[in-house]
Amino acid sequence: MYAYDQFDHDMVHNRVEEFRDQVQRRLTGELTEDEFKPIRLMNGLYLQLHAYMLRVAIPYGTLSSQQMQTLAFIADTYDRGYGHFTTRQNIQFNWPKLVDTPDILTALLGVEMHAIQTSGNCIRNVTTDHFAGAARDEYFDTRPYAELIRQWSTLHPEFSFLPRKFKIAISGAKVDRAALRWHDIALQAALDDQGNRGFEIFVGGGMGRSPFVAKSIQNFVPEDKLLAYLEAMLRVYNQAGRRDNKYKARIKILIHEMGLEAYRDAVENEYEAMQKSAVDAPAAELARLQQYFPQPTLIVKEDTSAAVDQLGRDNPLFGAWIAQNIHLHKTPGYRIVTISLKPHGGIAGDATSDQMRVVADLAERYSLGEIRVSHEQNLILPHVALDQLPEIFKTLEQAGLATPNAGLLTDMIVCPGLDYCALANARSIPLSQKIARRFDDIKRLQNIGEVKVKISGCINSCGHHHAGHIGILGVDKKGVENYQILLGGSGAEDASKAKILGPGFDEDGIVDAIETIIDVYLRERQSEERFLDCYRRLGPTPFKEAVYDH
Amino acid sequence: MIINIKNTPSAQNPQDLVLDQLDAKLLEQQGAGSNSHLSLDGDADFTNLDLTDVQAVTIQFPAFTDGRGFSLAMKIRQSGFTGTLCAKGPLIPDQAVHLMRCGFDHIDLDRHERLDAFYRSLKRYSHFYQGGRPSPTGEAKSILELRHRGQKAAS
Repeated sequence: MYAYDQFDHDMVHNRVEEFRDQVQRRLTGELTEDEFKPIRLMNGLYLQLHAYMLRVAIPYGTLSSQQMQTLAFIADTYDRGYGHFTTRQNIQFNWPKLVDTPDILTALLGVEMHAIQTSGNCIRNVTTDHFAGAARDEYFDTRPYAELIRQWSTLHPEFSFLPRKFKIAISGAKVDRAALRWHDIALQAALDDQGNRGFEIFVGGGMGRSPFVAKSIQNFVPEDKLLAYLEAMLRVYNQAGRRDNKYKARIKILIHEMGLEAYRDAVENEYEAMQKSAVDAPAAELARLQQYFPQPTLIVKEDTSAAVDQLGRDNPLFGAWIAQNIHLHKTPGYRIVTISLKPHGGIAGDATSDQMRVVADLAERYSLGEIRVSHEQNLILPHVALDQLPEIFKTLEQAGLATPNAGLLTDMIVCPGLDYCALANARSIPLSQKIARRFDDIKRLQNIGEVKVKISGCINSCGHHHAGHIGILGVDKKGVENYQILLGGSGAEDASKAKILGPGFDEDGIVDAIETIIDVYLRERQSEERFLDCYRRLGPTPFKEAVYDH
Repeated sequence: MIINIKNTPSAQNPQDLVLDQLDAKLLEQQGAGSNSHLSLDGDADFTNLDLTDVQAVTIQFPAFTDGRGFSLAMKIRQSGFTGTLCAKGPLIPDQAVHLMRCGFDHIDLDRHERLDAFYRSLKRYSHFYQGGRPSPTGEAKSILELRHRGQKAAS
């Protein structure tokens, strides 16, 4: 994992002190609320329905055991004993006091963490594949580049007052686990003919009220030219992006209105005019960053285990967990463990401080002290020996963390909704709980197979409903919560926008509708066909007829 | 009130940022309908901009949250312009360091009672991750470069 040097430490320390100063100036009235708002947001502090909310960055989703222990400490000391892991590899604390926030940031600095740019109209926390450095299908580990982008974007003097928020994602694998094409800029690792590293760059993706899937702007930008190219892309957006309407201010709208070609030309002009060498990282710096992310030193072992297989047959829950929550590691004999934060009837993405400590201890003992946070709001133990899975399962089970539903229908992405959020039109959490209870049978879920359900409580789409195989959007219908259903979206490498099926439902109606849709799928599917593929083959008609014609 | 953010390293206290009356007057006079002082909005079309014989450029910020002027200033400096670059508008103290690092050397303040905070903004950070820009300490190299200072001879 990356470790701060004195430069990094000073930067975050000074940022904490700056924020302390800003809070003081707000409290004395020297800063008006209008002036303070963008400033506090740029340090992750929101004012929600009931209280302030502090969003802490987990850069590229990588956490150490020690960092997780500190998150547990903060949850106990400054919050109500829990935290909420988000779709952008952040953790949110829902109940901090304004005056405590500088102290929370100081505690975070102690373990090299911060809340810098987790909100505001600036470059946000860069996200990546939660299996980076561990997955078998990876071209190369993108975390050194994510760290480079974290540094480059931190307190960027030119891009701290952009038209709107700006999200960059990066992935090094063939399978897209980072919802790349739903980002303002997405970087897909690639190798050129000589095996040199670089990135295909996509631009203009985003959700919200006008969803767009990002388009490719460059097939290959070499690793040592990345920052200058990003700087040129951001500069064009900063000047040309719309500022007259916040709903049209994201880069997706600029690309849509200006056209990809015209935008590319403007970026190329800017790139040519720039002092590129001063912006790009020197080769020695790229090499230095690589050193923090070595291949884990694991002793190659037998890649199968008769004992684990037998236990899977003896204990159906363990068997289901092995089938769903375990992925292949690049080192034979090792696995990647997904810890589901989607217990049926629970709150997606929430973890208590006790659970955080359990995960921290497990990582310390079994996973080289490393934890990942996924955009699907789960936790990951990235480097686990196959033969230790039974012990890990046992500990997780005792902590309520062994739900074997990763990738299944109840592994839902759910925004905080009207229970917390000032923007929401409808509640998301109770609906997700009802859906989970309706489908509370692992065998049935496994038979249904991969279905990505994503729930947003309003059009801002924090719950990624546009990218859901089944997306649910909460709306306000004359003062009553109403839910629309969308089908056919994807956040993976086959990214697509979900389409609205028809009129909305109340909370119970939507649960029935999902069950009806699943019944149509089970009736119509061909052999191993996933729900999404079945929908793509058949189109909406049979689903629509079943949902609305009775 | 116009403050000078160019000479930050030598400033010992907030008052040192205040331009002396004569300089301020000159800067204002340069603007009085002369060709040598341009006033631009943040979205000015840079490609059609002729800065020959221009001594001072003022970039207007309609709101402190409107960051177009930061990029325009970078483009102007990148083109080789060495004259005075002044930011004008309802800017907040916390932006002083950003303005400085995008090439501004003056800020024309709407309010002037927060000079202390402007000063603190300029003095708070000594190093930055982004290169190719001025810095309040005079150190133009980025952290990414500074980490490897002195290694060139060895390679």
